[in-house]
Amino acid sequence: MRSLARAFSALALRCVPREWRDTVAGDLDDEALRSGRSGWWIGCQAIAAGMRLRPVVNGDVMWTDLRYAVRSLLQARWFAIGAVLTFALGIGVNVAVFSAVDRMMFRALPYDHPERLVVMREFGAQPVQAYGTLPATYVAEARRLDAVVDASMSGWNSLNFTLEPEPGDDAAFSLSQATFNTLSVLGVRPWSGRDFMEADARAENRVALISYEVWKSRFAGRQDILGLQLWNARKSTVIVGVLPPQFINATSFLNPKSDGLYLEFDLFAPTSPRERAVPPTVRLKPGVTIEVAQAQVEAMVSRLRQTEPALPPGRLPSAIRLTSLDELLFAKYNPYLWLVMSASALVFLVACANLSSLMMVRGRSRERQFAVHLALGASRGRLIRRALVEALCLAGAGGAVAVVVLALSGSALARVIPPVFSRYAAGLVDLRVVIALAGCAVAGAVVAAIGPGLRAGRVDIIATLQQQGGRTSSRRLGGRSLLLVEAVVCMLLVAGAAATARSLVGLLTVDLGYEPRALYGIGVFLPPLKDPAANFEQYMKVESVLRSVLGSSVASSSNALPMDGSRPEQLVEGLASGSRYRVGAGLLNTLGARVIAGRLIRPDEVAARARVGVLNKSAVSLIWPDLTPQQAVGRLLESKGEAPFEIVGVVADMRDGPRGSGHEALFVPLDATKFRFVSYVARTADGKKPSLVAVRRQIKAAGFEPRSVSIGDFAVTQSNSLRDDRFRAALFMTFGVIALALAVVGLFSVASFEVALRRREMGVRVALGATPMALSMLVVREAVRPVMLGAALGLLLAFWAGKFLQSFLTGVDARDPGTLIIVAGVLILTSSCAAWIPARRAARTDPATVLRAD
Amino acid sequence: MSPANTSLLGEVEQLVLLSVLRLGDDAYAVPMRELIAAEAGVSLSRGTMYVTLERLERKGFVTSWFSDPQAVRGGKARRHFRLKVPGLAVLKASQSAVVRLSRGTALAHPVRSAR
Repeated sequence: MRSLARAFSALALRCVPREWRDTVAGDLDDEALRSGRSGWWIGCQAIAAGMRLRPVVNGDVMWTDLRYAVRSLLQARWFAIGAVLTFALGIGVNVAVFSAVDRMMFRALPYDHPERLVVMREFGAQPVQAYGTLPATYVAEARRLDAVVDASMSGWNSLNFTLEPEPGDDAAFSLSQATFNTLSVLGVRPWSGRDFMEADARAENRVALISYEVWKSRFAGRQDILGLQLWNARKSTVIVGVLPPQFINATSFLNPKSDGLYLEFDLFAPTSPRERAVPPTVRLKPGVTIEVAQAQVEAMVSRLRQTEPALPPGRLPSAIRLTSLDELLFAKYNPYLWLVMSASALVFLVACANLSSLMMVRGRSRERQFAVHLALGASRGRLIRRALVEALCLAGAGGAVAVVVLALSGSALARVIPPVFSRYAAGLVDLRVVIALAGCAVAGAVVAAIGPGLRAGRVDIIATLQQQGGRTSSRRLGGRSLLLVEAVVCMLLVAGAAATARSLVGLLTVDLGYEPRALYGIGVFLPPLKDPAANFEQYMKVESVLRSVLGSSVASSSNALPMDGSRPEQLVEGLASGSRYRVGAGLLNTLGARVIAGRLIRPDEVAARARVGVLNKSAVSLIWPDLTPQQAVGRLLESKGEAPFEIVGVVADMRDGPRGSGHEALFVPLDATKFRFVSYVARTADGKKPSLVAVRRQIKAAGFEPRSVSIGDFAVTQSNSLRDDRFRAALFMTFGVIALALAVVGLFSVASFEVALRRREMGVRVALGATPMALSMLVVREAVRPVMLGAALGLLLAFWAGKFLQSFLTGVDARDPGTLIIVAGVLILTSSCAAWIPARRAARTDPATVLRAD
Repeated sequence: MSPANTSLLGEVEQLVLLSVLRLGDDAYAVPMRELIAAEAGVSLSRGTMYVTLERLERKGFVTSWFSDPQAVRGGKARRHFRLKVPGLAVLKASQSAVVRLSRGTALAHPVRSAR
């Protein structure tokens, strides 16, 4: 620290003119020795002394101008605060957003030669929609093509791993399955340890590579991480390496929860000709275009299809196509990112307009001061330099506050940004973006600041000093034009905020058909027994155990539920759509299904495996379009090859998400002969998530050895599905509020300036009998006029621009006239309030004082 | 009466020159500031002191020289100041101007207050 203090003091002494440097150094040393002061004190005193000496010794007026600018801004502190906040908000928020968007839209993927990476997918008769898998033999053959270096697969399956064989309540690590050559195809090397090897795959050694971020955060960067074992379903997996920082697996861009990769077996050796694999990431050889590689793939597929069974008549063959990885990952998000960037650019425009308006107003309010300086002999260059120094001081202060805003907005952005973007959002600031944005803002401020100085040379000094300047209307035009621009932009942003907020509120309040709060799904995987009845019986016993732990709300179902979007069985034979769900006693009750007609399945009916069923409303409309739900109760539902079901009740459709629509569903009692496993749902009385440790302990105490136990939260799943909508609403509302705040600051400044400019006119009006209210209304009316015009233009623009926002909204019309009119009203009302304070000042004009001053 | 003397000292310049006069060969910035603060009750900033000395030296009222470095480890030389003849003359002129102007006022002849 002492050497740092000495270095600081030596550097600070450079501020002192050379002729006095030794003097000041000797005196400060003397005092420091006597009073025990540190090098830091010497440095600060040297800077202060240097600032005083420079103008006198060197004729260095820059220091004088700097001191003058600081003093002047402190005197006009409200103007300074407004300008600094405008600068900070305009720069700080936008740097965070632009940096994130730039990384996503314009930066190359973080792999070696990413332009040579493509993804091979199978497309059906509808060419737009790709299948989730393709024949595994195609993948194995593709690796041998001339155009291809290699192909890898990853990210289709994730497992949760824990540090102990018996998992506790601590968060598990989610690792994605990968082939041994995943990193080599991407051109990435591990940060430490080793990569997967083909020998690991052949020997079926379960090995893992954990992410750098997990190594640092969950393992505190421990050096002995290599060789550590992770566990899943009591099978160990050895950590052999750490992935490089900010590594994203190519096909896991949409799954940010991946904490690393694991390798289990060789996926390139299909065990059957019908086996399917996930779309591989393929690295093309240098110089090979996608078209050339596509031709080779098509030739390969033609050759392989000669050995495949013939397709059924009328069925068209699928197509195998290559798509650039970059296009696949980000193409569908580009409209989203353009929307975000456009909104951010609009806020930046408002900030620049506001800053320019403030500087212009400030400059014009000092015209009299400039006239005095000119009369005393100052040159126009000196006036311009002073204005420039003041603008740069504001820019410096604004930049310092912008850093704070940037830090806050970066962390806020990370909390609301959708997972697919979250790894790009927080922590990284692009210097190019900072320079570009700060440069634009500073340039705007400087031009606006030196404008009055440039004009000063043409000003009639005598006339200005006598306050008989030129027509005031021309001087007000610049500020009003900027207000109009700000009002238009505000309309766009606030209209966007209103639309996205309405969409989000609509999604949050949609009727899901069940109650997800305090509802948990419990998955228990027991070793299967050969006898189906015995197998079923053990699951029913586990249900009893869970009831003893969690209460009577526990219920079971033999397959998936409507709210997870699955379609386990056909509703009835011959019906085009719809699914059948087999449920245990009380399941629909536990889910909170809303009964529209009749009743739910009784426990005795479940125990007796009675032929009863509950339909949802969509199923009734499909099966009996002419019947109401009430009329459907009691009817028999026929199904080919089995006894009919008596419909005992109708429930509301259960959606698989706020955006989903309930599809047709039939709920029937659990059947011991028709299940593979049973899962449970429970609604806890206190709303808290059940303890995994406690549940597992009770199950084991009852004599069972579950292979895995997991607990999922329905409410969290639903909440996560709305993360994109929440982000959009938060983004637009933040931008809308910032734009509105900036517009208010701008309007306040312009109105204040005009009131100051028209003091004499106000005095004359009062002398002629104008009331204070009349004066106030005059000021407000004239200040709000450009805002009203801007709101009208902005309304038309928002109506046109609504089509770009519509695809991101649910259940809301972006062009709703009512909403747009309300937004315009809010803007005008807010602006009127901002103009009211200077209006009240005008109303207090004393004509005697004002007119006497002439 | 001497002809009107247009070259009078400012208030701070007077204080600085008087402190140089009183301290003699020991006149450098640090004790000068301390003396002015103690005797005149005026706290001059370091920058003001240096700026005033710079002006006085330019006008030819004081001269300066660097002493030997202090006899401590890392000790630096001090810049001392001495009054020159023109400086003494202008100081006397400024003082006399004040005395002449205060003739006939209570400052020159304090009035004995009644008991």
